[in-house]
Amino acid sequence: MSEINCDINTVLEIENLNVEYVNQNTRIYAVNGVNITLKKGKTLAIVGETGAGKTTLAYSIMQLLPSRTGRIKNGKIKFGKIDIVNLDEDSMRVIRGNLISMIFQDPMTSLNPTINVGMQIKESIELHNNDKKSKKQINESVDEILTLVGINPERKDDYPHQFSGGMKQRIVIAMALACSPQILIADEPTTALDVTIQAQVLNMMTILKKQNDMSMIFITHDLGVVAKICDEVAVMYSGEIIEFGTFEDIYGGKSHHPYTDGLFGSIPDIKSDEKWLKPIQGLMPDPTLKIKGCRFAERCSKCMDFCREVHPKEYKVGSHMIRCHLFKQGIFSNE
Amino acid sequence: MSNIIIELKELKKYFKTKHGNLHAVDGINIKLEKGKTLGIVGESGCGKTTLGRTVIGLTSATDGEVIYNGENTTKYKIADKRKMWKNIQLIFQDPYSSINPRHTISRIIEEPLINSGLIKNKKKRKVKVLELMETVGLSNQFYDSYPHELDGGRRQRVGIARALATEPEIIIFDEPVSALDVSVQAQILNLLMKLKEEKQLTYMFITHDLSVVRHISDEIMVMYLGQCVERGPAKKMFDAPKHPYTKALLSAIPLPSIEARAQEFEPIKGEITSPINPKPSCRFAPRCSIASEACIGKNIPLKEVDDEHFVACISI
Amino acid sequence: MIKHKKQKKIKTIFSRIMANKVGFGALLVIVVILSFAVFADFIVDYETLALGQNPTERLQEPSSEHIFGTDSFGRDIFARIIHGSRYSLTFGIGCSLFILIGGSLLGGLSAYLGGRVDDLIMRGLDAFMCIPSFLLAMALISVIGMGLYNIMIALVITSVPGSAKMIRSLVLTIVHQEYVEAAELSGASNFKIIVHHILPNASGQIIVNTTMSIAGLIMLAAGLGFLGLGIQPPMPEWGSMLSEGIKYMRVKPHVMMFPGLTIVMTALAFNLLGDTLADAFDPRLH
Repeated sequence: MSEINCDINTVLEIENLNVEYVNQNTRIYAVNGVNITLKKGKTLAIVGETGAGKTTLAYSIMQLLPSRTGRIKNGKIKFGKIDIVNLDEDSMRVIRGNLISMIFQDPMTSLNPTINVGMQIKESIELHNNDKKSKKQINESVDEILTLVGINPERKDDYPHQFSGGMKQRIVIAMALACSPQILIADEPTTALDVTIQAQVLNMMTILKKQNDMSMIFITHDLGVVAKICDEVAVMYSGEIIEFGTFEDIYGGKSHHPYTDGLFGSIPDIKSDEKWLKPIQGLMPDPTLKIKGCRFAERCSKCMDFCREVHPKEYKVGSHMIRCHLFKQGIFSNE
Repeated sequence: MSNIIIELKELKKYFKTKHGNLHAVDGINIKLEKGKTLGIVGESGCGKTTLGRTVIGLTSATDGEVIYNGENTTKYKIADKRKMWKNIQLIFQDPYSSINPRHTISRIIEEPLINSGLIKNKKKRKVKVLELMETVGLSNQFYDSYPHELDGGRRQRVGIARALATEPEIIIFDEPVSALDVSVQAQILNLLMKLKEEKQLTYMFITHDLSVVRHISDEIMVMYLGQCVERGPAKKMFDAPKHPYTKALLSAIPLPSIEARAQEFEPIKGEITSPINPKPSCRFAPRCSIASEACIGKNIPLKEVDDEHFVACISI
Repeated sequence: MIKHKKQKKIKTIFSRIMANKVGFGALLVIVVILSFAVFADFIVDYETLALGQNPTERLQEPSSEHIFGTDSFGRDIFARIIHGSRYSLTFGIGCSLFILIGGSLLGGLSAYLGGRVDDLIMRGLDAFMCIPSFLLAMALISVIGMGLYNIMIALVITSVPGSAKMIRSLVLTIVHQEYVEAAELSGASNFKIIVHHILPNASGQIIVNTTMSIAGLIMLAAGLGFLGLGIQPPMPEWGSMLSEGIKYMRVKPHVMMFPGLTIVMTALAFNLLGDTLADAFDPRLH
């Protein structure tokens, strides 16, 4: 899984994406110059803390940014050959759901409490019914989908409140998969769930992804979850991708962005008796500021004067990219 | 075990619902020594939050006792409770809803000092507030700030400063870091450990996240549907868990490492069963991989399998 | 130090109101109307212009002599509006204040204490609300008699249940916030919790609702007057002027229009000021 295969076709390509939220008197730089490619059948994790711009990135791909304040300043989001940044709403509606689906963090708010679950899945199939299924076929596929996510199809007449949180999230996932999208964007899909349920849902998602030959963008703050499910990892900080690579690059490689190191150091290790944790001091910079140098400089233990002045480029070695002055193009020597 | 500061005896809390009694806390026994930390772990719906609230008296106990200072506090009237709250404090999960958005940071931290009448002099109170802010690592520039100007980690520090104001002996934490980002979470956990050492505090640390409690706890109790299924020294609980549920919980934690990915594992099936009118039985049995006929029909008591290590399972 | 802080707070709230153009406009309108009420006697003479009937000049269009025209009895509409502001404002503001106090007490207690007290208060209010408010007001007036203050009492009694229910649901959402429990744990008394924690956080919503009710109350009083139970002619009162004017709506629209506009403007001004105040007191909005 680690080899970079040039033949694998790219399903989604984001080039130099900048997204801003413009308010009456403030301008928030939410996403700054993001480049990402998503390969067919792979899962890409976008990892970062609150305010890193993960969700904004997902909403930009779905073209669901709040229309009054949010706007894509520049950049391309290429879905196959089409750039969807300036696509009209009607065409976008066809893409959403048919080709790209999204699931959200809170399963409770994604389901309509007054409609039974079977009906809601049916609706989402009917809405994107391209192969003109008959009523009977649709009913059958509702049963199929429920079985797929491990829920007894006999429960399709039940209402959302009759299901537990984990089951609701499965139903939401079932709905997102109903029209077999090419890309599934999952925004913290397991954060609201208990660990044992999270493990169940993650297992299920892995299997479903393989079965449907989907690509997935998995947004999370939990590095443990990433390790379970993702092939490629993008670490996001203050609207930028500061490190990108395969799962092995990020979890195994010797060289890392200081922020990535800090993130790993902050996680309490259940296998060690080490008493003190090693947090990153400080906070993410105010997103309304334009920062000249490296955005992590203020919190970085390895910060040099130079870092505050010059914005680091994307330095690459093979599949591994780090945006930090400690590294150079072509070689990542360890200092 | 002479140094026991608080003791729970068969503590029970049932909530009346339309369908019957909801057994949120169902016979919990705890003896907590001064200066120690007890981690209380369980999934949502296991009654851990209710346990914390019952101990501190925000909800009244249905049965059982909480012995503090030689008195059963479950029978306390409000005036007695107010006295007790100077010594036992609770820290809430959500740093966004646990501090009043309309008050300044100083006013929030000052409130317990005014209410308890501990420091009547305004100037002295200000000194104390600034001192508390320093203790929890809040810069004094936030003295006149409002909560919305602070991020989650700093708000949680405000909550901690407020709880420390009356210099309590025992602090109950209800998921104090689960709403925070990992890097901030580590900062707060370190702060809590530092405070415990400096002030000789006793903690009850309630969380759903096992990885958080290893570092901070001396002893860990795992709850399932209102009951304790396993209790023991932190190290033993992690290195040699006995109860199938504890094992399942531990193995379900996704670890951030390459080795963890290679490990194939089968997550436990099913979900937590209804806590309403449970029949006498091992409550974990419906999800348990080693459950047998013998697990059903009677309550399983805790038994000591090792020094200070208790498990409620007939197969152990 | 602390005193200084308080002054600063009042100053910032004031400057926030000033900074809001709409709010400032509303404040200006209210100040003008209030000063009309206070200085009515210096502006136009009550006896001759507002009450004195003049059959020769009835239903005149606005002119330089009568800038708002005259009504069916030949009274100057401008003068009546100016003097009417005394009654209408006292009535509108007074009623809504008392409704606010009654509603807050009942709704707040009911939500905060919960349990049986809550049940008792709510069922009692339900019983009141079963009777159409207009009928209830009429019944009350026929018992306690007419007059400005009695009408106020009647309307307050009929409107309190609705207000109490609104405030109860508002308080319920706040009571279960963790900061209220934290205050309890810090040893705060019930009174302190209500005054320091619950009311300030409910105030925005309450202010907006109260100011909205002012216009409704003025119209309700007019309705009662129309049935002969409210403020009696020839007393100049905006609501009754408006309902009188309806008779001449097709031929002389100005008779109805000016009192109507005054009511709308007053109500709107109070409403916008309420909105601005609610925002100005909220530290979350700079």
